[in-house]
Amino acid sequence: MATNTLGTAEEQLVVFRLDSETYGIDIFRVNEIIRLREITPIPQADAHIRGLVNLRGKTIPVVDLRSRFGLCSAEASEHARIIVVDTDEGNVGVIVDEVREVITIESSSVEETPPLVSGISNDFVRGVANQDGHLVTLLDLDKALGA
Amino acid sequence: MSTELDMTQYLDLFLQEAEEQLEILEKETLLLEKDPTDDRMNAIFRAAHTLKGSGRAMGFINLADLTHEMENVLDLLRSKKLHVNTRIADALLRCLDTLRDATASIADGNGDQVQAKELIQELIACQSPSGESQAPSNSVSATASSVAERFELSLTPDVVEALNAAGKEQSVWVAKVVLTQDCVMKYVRVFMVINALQGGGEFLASSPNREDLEEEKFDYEFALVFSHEGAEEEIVKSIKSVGEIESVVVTKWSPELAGGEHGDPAATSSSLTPTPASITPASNAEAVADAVVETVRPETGPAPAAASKAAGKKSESGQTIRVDVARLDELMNLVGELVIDRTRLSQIGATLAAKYELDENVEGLAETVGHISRITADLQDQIMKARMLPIETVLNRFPRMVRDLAQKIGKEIDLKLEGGETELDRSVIEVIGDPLLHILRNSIDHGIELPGDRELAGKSRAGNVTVRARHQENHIVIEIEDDGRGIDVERVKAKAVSTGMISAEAAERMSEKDALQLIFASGLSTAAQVSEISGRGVGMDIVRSNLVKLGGIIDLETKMGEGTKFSLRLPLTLAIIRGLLVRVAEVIYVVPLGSVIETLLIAQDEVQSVNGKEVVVIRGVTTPIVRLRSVFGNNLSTAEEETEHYVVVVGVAENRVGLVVDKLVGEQEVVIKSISRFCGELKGISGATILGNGNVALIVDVNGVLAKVGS
Repeated sequence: MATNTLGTAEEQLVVFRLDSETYGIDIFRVNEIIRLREITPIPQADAHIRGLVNLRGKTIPVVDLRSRFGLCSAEASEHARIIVVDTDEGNVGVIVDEVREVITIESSSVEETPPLVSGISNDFVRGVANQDGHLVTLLDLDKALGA
Repeated sequence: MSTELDMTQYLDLFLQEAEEQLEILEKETLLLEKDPTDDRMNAIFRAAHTLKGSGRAMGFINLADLTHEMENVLDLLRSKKLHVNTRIADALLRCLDTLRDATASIADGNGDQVQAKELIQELIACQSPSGESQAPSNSVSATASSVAERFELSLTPDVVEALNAAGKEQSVWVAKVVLTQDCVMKYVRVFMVINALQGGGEFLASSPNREDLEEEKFDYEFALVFSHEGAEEEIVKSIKSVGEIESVVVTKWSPELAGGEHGDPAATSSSLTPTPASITPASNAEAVADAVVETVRPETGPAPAAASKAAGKKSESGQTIRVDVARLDELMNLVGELVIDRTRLSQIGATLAAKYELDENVEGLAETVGHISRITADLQDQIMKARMLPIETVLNRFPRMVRDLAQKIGKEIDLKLEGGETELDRSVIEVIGDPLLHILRNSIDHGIELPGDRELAGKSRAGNVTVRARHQENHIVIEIEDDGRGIDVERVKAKAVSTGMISAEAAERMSEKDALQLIFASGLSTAAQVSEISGRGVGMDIVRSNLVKLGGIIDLETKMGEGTKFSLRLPLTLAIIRGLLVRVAEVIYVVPLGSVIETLLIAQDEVQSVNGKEVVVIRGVTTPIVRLRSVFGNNLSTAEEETEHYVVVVGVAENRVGLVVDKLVGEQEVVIKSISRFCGELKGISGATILGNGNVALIVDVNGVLAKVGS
């Protein structure tokens, strides 16, 4: 969260698409965005953990938000990316269908989520923001990752 | 330490040094009781002194005060005015604990917040030979005087010489004066002090010199050297009459007071012995109370010792440097990556060689790849060596624990540590401490008998416990041997039967060796009584499971009435292992080669079923088999009926199990990477690694798989 010249609080979001919905996460939690690569499945891990990927010699777990949000799984397209985010347990990758843009919103414009507007459990959501007529669902990252 | 910044910059160094000195203190103090040699006392003295010096430099006054008082005691020990007894050793060890607390608190950023007052009084009491407590009546003056005492003189050699000459003819005194912090015109006070003394004597020298005093180039402490006809009390009185004076310490002049910076340390050290009249221990304690200390300052002693140590360090510093552990880990990581790329390179090289057999560049490539392989291997070797630490760093913790424990339970223990120089990787050092400690406590608590019982059995009163470390091939072997009562196998069996762990018939048939393995089972303790130390039946099972996790093996031998010997066998490093790559349902797994006994191909009709579990008979031995597909199969389809199976036979201790895999891929050195805690606890997987093609592969935890299958 930052303050602009007018003194109103702003935040920057990385906006991505999952299925037909648009989501935003705090840019300060995002480390980098990488292309989809070979994911090694981990037996017995939670279903939403797709597996491990090699990030420059380190192994990081990758979360499948589709499975987490109860969406049906889909073939990965060429737009699919892994967003590497910071968590208390180190880096975690998040698979998304497409990374759209980085937007700046005024914190005051974040509204409470109307029940079931996004089709995903409200537990994972901290609000919605209206961006030029489009709704962006702001994720509560830690809850969404199940960290 | 003029600014906050300066201090934090040196804090790490200070803590590192403190840790080193504390280790020396602990090691030597424990031996001091048994074997109070001069070398030992000097070593302790030096360590305490170094701590005091660096503590004070960093502004940790509590720490400095405590070490200062330790020095006083040690000085008396060195000069044989006192003899080591349990009380002194206890006090010194308590100091050690307090100092550890202090450094821990400093490391946490809380400064040296420790309550050292009581301990300081105990130390002062220790200084009286009768051992009676003579606590100072006025602790405020004691602190004030200690501030004055700490101030060291700086005099030029020619001044010292002149003073020495003067000292032969008249009584020469040194007054160390501390002005109050709010004193405004410092030189005026200095001048008044000098004037006050002119009545009975003559000003000779000062520290800092007169010029600096006039320009007020000093904090609040200064020292004057002067001749005086009067007695000490009189001098103190006349100085104190000046006002705005915090404290005064008056001492008879002696050349050592000039500090150790001048002249040859070796030459000065001969004059270290305090003048006989000056340092009677009782007067010391009293003197502190009165803020009039007529002793040779202990500070003067250590200076040459410290100087010679510094000289020793200097000669070493050419060969060793300190390296941050994190940096070594990072290097290790990089080398790990290099190892991965090397593997990848040789794979590509082989592919190209097959494709362009006739191209002359292929040969060049093969050569270069070969060279890189060798260099990488050497590099890896060297980095591994750089991460090695002597096992001493773990073992040195034990003497203290053993001493305290023995004292507590009224046993006498003679602990021997052998092979402390044996080196192993940091990763292993970090984790073996606790298991070893546990076994050691067990040996002392259960193994060694009470002194009286030992005498009846015709043994020495003190039980012998030996911890021995040595290298054996690519492993380290650590043995913990005691000459205690041994383990009663029948009692172990009886206990196991009574707790329902095994049936009476099974116990009957059980071999001695198998029965002994029962002590590693959870919930079994043969101690008649549960003590604070051990006997709750938890512990040995944890010890074993921890060791097994490291790829280690634990074994024991015992003989009734003669003793018990535990043997631990551990890999030298946990960072890199040789692994067998296998494929299970399109995914590559790594089985640590250390636990692989053999691989074979069996036909489906060789698989038999016993009690609902699949087994095969390998050379007459019935071996259970486990299909990894079903173990690792959350989303994986179960193996379709195949006529043949690849089986990797793995062994843990006496247990053999065949792991059924789809395919054997190859053998390779792999760098172990931990799996993020984010993934939760994974049974059957001990870590991950990165293969030559850049993909991640999981490392099979053989014990985990066995446990999973067993349950």
